[in-house]
Amino acid sequence: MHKIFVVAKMVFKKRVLSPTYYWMILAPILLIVIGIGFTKYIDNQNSDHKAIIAVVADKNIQEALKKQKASTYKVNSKINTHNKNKLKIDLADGVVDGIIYINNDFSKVDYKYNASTDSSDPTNELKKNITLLKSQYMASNAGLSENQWQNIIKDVKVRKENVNYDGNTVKLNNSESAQYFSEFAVIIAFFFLTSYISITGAEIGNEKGNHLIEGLTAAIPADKHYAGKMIGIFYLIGFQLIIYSVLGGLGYLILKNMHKQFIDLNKYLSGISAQYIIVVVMLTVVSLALYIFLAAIFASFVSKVEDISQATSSVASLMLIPYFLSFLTQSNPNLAISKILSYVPYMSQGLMPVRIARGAATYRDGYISLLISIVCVIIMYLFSAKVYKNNVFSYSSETPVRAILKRVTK
Amino acid sequence: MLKIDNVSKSFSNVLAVKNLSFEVKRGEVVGVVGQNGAGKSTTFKMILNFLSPDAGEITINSKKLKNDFLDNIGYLPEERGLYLDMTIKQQVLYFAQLHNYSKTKASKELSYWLERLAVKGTERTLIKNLSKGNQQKVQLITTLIHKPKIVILDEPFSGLDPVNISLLIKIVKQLKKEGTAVIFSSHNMNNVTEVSDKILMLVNGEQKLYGPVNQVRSKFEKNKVYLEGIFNTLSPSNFSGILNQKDDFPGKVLTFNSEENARKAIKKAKAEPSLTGYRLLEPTLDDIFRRIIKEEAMKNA
Repeated sequence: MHKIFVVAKMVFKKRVLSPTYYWMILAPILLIVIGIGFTKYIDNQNSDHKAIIAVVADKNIQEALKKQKASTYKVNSKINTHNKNKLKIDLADGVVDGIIYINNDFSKVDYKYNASTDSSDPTNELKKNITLLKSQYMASNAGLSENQWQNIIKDVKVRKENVNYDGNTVKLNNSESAQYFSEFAVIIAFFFLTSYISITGAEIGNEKGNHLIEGLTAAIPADKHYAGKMIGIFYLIGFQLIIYSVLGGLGYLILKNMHKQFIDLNKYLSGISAQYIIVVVMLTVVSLALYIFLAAIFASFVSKVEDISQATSSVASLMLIPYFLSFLTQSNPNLAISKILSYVPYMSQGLMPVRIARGAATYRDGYISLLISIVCVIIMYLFSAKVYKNNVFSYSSETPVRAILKRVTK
Repeated sequence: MLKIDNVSKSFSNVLAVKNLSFEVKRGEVVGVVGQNGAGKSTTFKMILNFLSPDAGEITINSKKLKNDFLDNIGYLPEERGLYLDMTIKQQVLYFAQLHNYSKTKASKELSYWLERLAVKGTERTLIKNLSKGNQQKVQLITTLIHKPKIVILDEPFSGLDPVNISLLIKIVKQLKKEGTAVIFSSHNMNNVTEVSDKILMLVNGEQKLYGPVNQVRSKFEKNKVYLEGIFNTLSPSNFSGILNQKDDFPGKVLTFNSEENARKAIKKAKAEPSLTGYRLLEPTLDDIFRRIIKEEAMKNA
């Protein structure tokens, strides 16, 4: 046992002391921070650059439009809208960014704008606000009071309740948030897997490719060496999760009073049950193990160092399938392919959480899928260890994929 | 200590090793010679339990081979391989720990080994910054650091310059003195002769010769004669049965087609006053090796 942990410690230490490992850990966080920052910057730019518009319409309409709240435009009432030529010149010179023409019964609304303006596009907001004005105008013509008009335009509230096929109700207060959480988990798993598949390939393939393996297996049997490698890789995953937890905790402490400025976390996290989080996290972790063992199988057939990336790219391609299927399942969680694949190891981590969030599957289904994946993990570990042991001294001029196909078709 | 008893191994109907039997005792050095593909590396892999023999048995101290014995074996593979991004110390300590040897002890002994093998580098030197020869020496240190009872060296002399070859021979002799059983393979017969107690010759997976070096040599005809002096009245062509002659300053070495003709040449040389030196030469391992290969080739033809 001691030798296994010597190997595991070496795998862990080698990576943890490497600057590229920390870049791998921080890259997704940086990506998210840059993404949020960039979005905020664009939003700010848009809010700072409201379009200045002139309104050519009846005076009442002008005043009403000016009074309405708008984030993308501002009405300039000082512009002389009666002199059409002057207006055109003002538009061309950038005194106004756009001119909106509204006739008295709102049957014709034209918006002319300067294409070179750097202000935000107010069209959607103008459309919404003018539609409101129109409805108010028509209500007034129909003899309706202000209150009656308000009642007409008020949104209808729809309460949703999921009922699955066996009659048990799965209550999810915020199904949309649960779906976002499952998508977030799929994306995080994807980032993890692309890194760790590559690490696994390197750990398994390098020693054979560099002829170290004979010296190593003279000291430690191949199956124990493999066990040590896998434990070392899971140490690294655990370490990365600890770093994320610490950063997440620090981030929460720093941002807890400020977070609403950036993103309303409560809006997204409220209503997601602990049980849902457990199912999603467990399925994700188990799928990580499955893909890592699969990458190890492919890497076991590597004879040259330069073939490692080819071996692991095959696994990376397989990984994309559940990633894309999860988006498909969002729109229709009851597709036959989604139903079946939500129980299939390697695919279930992308599909079952979405199906549970949409109420198309229960937590019981989730646990069954998890159990199937756990059994598959055990089988895959034993199988991958055997493949590694049987191929540790076999060198071939063929690529790893060809070597595997040859073995399978033999 | 190590006993290989009637061991055979095939790969896809190709016989790699057939009915191999030999023994290596404590403090004994066995040199294994053979052409490429003769079965030397396969034999070593079976001793290391990388491969299981199809027939026969391998035992260490009369016990069947198990993975537990790996801690008592040091192996230097033919294909050299080191972690290039590790330092010498990291590399050596890692392999020491894998052999269940104390990290502290290995750390203390490392400086001795670096000096002993004249490695040009310190404990903190990265492996990739060492020359090929020095890398080989570091790999030898990883083989020996845990004080194994059995040492297997597959082509240890390849790639080494004459100075380092001498150094390695000294190490092997020292190991022998300390009671370590050593098996090594080499294509250089001089090295094998110099350091081995026994020789094992493999040809096409079969054991052709085995035994103490002198005993093996004595089984073969002494068909070479060394002559020294002035060849004016008696030239090498005057001897019957001569196959070839070679200058070996200050004299010549004559090869005959039989020991009988070689002895006749010695008699003739004794009677010749211009020849001041003459002796019958023991066949070298090189000669024996070539002879056996030739015989095998003729047999197969």
